[in-house]
Amino acid sequence: MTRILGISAFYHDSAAALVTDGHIVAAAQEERFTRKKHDHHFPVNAIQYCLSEAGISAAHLDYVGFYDKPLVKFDRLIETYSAFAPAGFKAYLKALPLWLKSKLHLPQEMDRAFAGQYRGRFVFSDHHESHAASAFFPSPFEEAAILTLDGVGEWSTTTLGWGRGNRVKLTHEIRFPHSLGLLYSAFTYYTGFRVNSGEYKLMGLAPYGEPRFADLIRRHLIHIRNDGSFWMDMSYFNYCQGMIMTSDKFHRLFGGQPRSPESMLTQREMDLAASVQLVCEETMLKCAWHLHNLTKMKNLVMAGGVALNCVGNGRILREGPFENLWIQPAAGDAGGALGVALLIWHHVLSQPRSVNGSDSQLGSLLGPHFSDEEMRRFLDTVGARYHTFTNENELLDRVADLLASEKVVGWLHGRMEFGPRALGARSILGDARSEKMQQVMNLKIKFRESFRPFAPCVLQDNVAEYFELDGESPYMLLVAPVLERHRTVLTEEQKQEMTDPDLRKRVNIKRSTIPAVTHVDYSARVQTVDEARHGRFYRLMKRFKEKTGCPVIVNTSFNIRGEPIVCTPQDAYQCFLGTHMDALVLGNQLLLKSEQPNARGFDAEGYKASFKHD
Amino acid sequence: MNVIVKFILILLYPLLLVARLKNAILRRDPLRLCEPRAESFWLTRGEEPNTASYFSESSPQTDEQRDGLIRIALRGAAHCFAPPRPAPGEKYSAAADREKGIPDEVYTLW
Repeated sequence: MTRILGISAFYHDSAAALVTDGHIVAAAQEERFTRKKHDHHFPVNAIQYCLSEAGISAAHLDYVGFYDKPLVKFDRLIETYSAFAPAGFKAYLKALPLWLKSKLHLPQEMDRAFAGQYRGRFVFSDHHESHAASAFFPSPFEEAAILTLDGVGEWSTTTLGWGRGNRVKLTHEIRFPHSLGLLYSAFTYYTGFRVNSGEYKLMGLAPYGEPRFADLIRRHLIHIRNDGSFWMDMSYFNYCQGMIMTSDKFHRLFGGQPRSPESMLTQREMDLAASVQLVCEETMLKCAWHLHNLTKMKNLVMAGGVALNCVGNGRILREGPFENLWIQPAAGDAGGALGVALLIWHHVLSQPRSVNGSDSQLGSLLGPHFSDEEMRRFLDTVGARYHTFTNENELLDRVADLLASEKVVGWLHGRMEFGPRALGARSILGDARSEKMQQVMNLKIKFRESFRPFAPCVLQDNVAEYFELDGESPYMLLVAPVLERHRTVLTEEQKQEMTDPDLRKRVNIKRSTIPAVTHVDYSARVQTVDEARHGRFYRLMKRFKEKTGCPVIVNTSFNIRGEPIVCTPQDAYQCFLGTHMDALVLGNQLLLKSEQPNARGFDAEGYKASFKHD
Repeated sequence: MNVIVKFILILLYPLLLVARLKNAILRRDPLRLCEPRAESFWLTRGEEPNTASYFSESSPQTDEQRDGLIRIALRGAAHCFAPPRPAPGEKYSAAADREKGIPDEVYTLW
């Protein structure tokens, strides 16, 4: 038996993944354990979890892999500081101490983390090769074209290549500082959101705007060739040499300073979001077409942070040349941990890969799980009142009733998701038909910006009845339009309201028969739910459909703004008490807020304040 | 220790200026800051990694390019700050952490 541990760390979304004889055994992000969103520290907790899932210690590991090559990255840093010297002096002084003290000693640092128990050698793979491996090896394809897009790894920011059998090969690249991910991050920063977590908000904001800055972006910031390759004019950016993303020249081009975080969003920010989103989608599509010309393959796999841009992914699927698309659910840096582990198995050890028509990501449910006994013990300890259901049908019946009566339900069942999306194991659920659900969930449950959309999950068998999508989307990485027949025609008054600067008014307009999950442009980020991957969650949705006729519910991550998705029953219970959630399901236990003796005394404000806004 | 590290970094900084000057003289533009006159901006990647290269923190391509005094000096200096070997039973704590006040957007590039 060969046990391989993959690690990503030190930048953002540190994670660990364990692969045994080529099978994914466990994978988790460090943030879920430390409760610090995008935690960049060495993932000691995630490693500990992976080892415990397999019942082993570090001494039993055959290989440990790190997801990038630190010395190549160090070279890139030196080249960058030298290219801009003396302009980057401050950044140089801030960045390099960590390299001298830690990152240039990675094997020693990892030795320390394993307390000397691991005796083998460390493997280091190229950052984008790790992404490529994470996209291809777990995919359901025997062969596929590979597209990776992110901020930056060592030098590469975008790569093209292919995978076949047990090999991946990257053939072309765009190098730092020219980066689609960093262009998107620059606008994330400029529109007042936090880089690394605000990109999703920018994507959600885009449909409120008009892409009136797109030409300006194409003319000045990024020159895009028909083959999807691009070059960026670095005089508009400051990230090579400074401590912020954009330069004064950028600010002059777009007519002002960056928006202050938390200040009022204006139409300008919405138009900027729409513009950069359009440019990003166009570039992604061109890359896909070029890659198809190079490889002539019918399947495409993707990874890297930009592959989380599900609007762009949806366009690639609908307008691109590929018949099939599979995206690594942990497309960001966390997925690199899985990628390097699989690379070791297939490339270093030359082990074959078998494909059986389905992906081997196991629904991305690769994290910790808790027994009913553990949950009850915890609930008893904190004095919670709960109902235990020994019969699953009765539990699902009760939860479906709660959902149908517009109650908001926290749902923790089975293994935690690996990747940024909640897929029905750590989710907050609501009725997609409810007109008030989006506002209630945003403002009273998630405590986040009112404009942000919620995602639907839909029974796989019914997806084509509601959305322009007939394949599967089990990892919530594709945006598809709601079908015309479910849309509501807006009145003149509503059309007028759609130009109101107050986004809450726009959000509240009913646009379809499933208003809680229909964005202002009639799009939705769809998760398809099937019994093989989702088990009880699928059966819950079936029960909801039997009761209401609707196979769609709202599925949002089980957390509040700035908080990592909950991991343990304790995390879920805290979140339940700290919000206006109506009910909580922990395995076979149902808790109703109205029955909780601890609900009134709970310091909800302190709870919210304990997480830094993202 | 941070003061010593920063002092060393300040001492070595002139080497970066020399490297910049050298690049200017040799018309070397590793970051492609000037727009290339090319039909495509795609670059062909180097040779496929072999098994041995997976055990290296570096890559064959960067090894070839690594001729700069600054790299040698910085990596030499780093030897003075290597983290200590783990003591049996010692709880892990990172040898160093990012400095306060570094925004996420630039930290992730470093």
